Amino acid sequence: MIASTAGAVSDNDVLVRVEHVVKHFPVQSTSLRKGAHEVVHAVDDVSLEIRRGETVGLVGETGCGKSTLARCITRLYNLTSGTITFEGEDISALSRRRMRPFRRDIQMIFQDPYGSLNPRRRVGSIIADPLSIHGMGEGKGRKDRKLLVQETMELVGLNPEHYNRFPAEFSGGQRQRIGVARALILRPKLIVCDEPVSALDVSIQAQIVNLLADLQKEFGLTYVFIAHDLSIVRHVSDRVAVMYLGKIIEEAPSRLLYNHSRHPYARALLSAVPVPDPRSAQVRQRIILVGDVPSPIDPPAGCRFHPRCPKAAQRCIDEEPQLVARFDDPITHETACHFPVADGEDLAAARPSIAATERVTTDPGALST
Amino acid sequence: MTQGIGDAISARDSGQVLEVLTPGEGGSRIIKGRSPFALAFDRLRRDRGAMISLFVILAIIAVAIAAPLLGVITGHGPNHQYRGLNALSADGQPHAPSGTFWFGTDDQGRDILVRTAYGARISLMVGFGATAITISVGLLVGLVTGYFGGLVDTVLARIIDMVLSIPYLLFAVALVAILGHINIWIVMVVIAAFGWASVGRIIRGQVISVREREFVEAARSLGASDWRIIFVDILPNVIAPAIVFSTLLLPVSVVSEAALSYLGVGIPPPTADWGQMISDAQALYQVAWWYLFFPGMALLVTTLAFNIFGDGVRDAFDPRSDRIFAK
Repeated sequence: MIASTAGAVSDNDVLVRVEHVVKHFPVQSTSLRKGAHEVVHAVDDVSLEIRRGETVGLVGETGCGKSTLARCITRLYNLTSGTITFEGEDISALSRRRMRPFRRDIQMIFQDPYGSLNPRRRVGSIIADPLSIHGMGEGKGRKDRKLLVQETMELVGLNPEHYNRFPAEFSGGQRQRIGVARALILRPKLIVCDEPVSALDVSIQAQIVNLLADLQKEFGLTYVFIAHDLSIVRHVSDRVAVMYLGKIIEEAPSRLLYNHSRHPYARALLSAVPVPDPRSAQVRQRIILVGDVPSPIDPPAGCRFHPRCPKAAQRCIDEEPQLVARFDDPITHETACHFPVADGEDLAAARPSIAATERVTTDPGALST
Repeated sequence: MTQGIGDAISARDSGQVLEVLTPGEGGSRIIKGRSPFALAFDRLRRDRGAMISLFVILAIIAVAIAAPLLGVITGHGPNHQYRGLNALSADGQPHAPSGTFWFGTDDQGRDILVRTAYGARISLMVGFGATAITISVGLLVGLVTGYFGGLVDTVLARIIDMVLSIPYLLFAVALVAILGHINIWIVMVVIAAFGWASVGRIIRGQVISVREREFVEAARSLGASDWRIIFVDILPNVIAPAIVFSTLLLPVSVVSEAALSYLGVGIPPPTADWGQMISDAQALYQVAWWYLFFPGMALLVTTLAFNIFGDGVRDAFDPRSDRIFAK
């Protein structure tokens, strides 16, 4: 992976700037109460900077909003509020037509290798799709388009002779390569990978991850890599942002996050990563969080993690923590927590100072249900 | 995904998904993939009933095309009224099948064989034509309403409901009466005007499920326009039910045309038409069974052949449906 350059980061280096992005989905209210407009707070005030050439990892549980954020960045969803800037230009509210030229530079790789390819189309046609949509390779004619497709197939490790086959004739790993080829053919600047390896066998995961790394080196790509597998994210990312219930709760260069995580949630998450060595697995502490992730329709007040946090205090209910550097962390390591975990602190010994059954919500009316 | 696996499994049962070609000595084996349509076609070929019906259909088409030839062979035109010995008896009664008139004559001395052959032309032309119009309109409406949803869907879905609730035959008769002048195109349009709604509804349902699939989202993320997504991504995934429906719609159109002619609001006489002939033959069947028999039989055989072929096509596209007599 290309390491991010030390020192001041000029605006030129920032490829995508996500500022206070909010995405809410309206929910059909089953209650007959008038004015009961419920929304799913999928992404709630997220800010992120993605620099040229780096890989930003985005991790979190199911339902934390990482896929939604990915689709906001690629403008598959419209934003409820906030701005997204690509290479300095505001793309948050562009119409489909005006957004089109940007789609050459922002591509996406999807999670499901079976679902993301049209089963009734030949693979060559699928990979050539971006070419025909953006009218490229036009004047050169069909033959040159075919050549470009076959070149790209070779780049991702597929046999270019298979260009007339259907997706059903490929294995899962190969289909994901087809997805990569499709994303790559226009030589984009940013590729958002939405859990690209989650649906694959572990050995194939390694192949695809290494392929993505090679392509990044060769073409100077920038990745946003979304996953819930922490060991993969650690391997590929320069920086990692941990999300919980629609908010980023910790953001750090990946080495710092894995060795010096500050947020209790991040610490718990990392303690759950399987460790190959059985002896060290026995020795290390496991922090087990009680309870389920609360519903994003009705997120907890203050710090969203407080109902499950082993260090929760009254302050966590009253005041939402800001994402800033804690203790004496470098400015690149930000945590949203009032009581961050210090190095060497035993989180398993922590006890919350508020009752565990106390679930405070932002909507007092809902408490009566 | 399940559809793909279903295809693959059944294809494995009934043949190869991949063709293995062994070109000559010293050549390497080439494994060639086959498209879903090629697979369906292969299954169709193995269905004996469907192949026999296809042969019958082709024979009927051949007869329709060769109708003038038949006229030349027998020496009788389709509308010419003959008066000779074997044409009409002394008191103007139609003559039974004989050496001169192989299918006999009708009450006006016309050759029923030649008329039946010419009638096939009308039936087939209207059958294929009305089906083509019905499928095209239904497909287009189904795609648009299923994909865009919202207001477009609400309006068009209600229109579909309205068209489906109209009593077909009554309105067809009324429509033709209003139009006054009838020709083969008007008959086609009238039949299609009531048929497109069923197709539209089915296609709409398919489109609604397809548009939620991830490859549509992928196409959108590439910057594809809505129309491109509809015709390049969604259409190939919904065309199978459309094809099946069209093979089932063919006999329906043929019978509809015959029904309209039977009621007197179809192709006007003296053009030879099965429905017309059956209607005229009603009064005479006790004295001239052949007048009712031959066009009736022709209609029956045509409809049956289309129906059995349609069943075969449906089975070819959807091999998981249970068959009573499995191979």
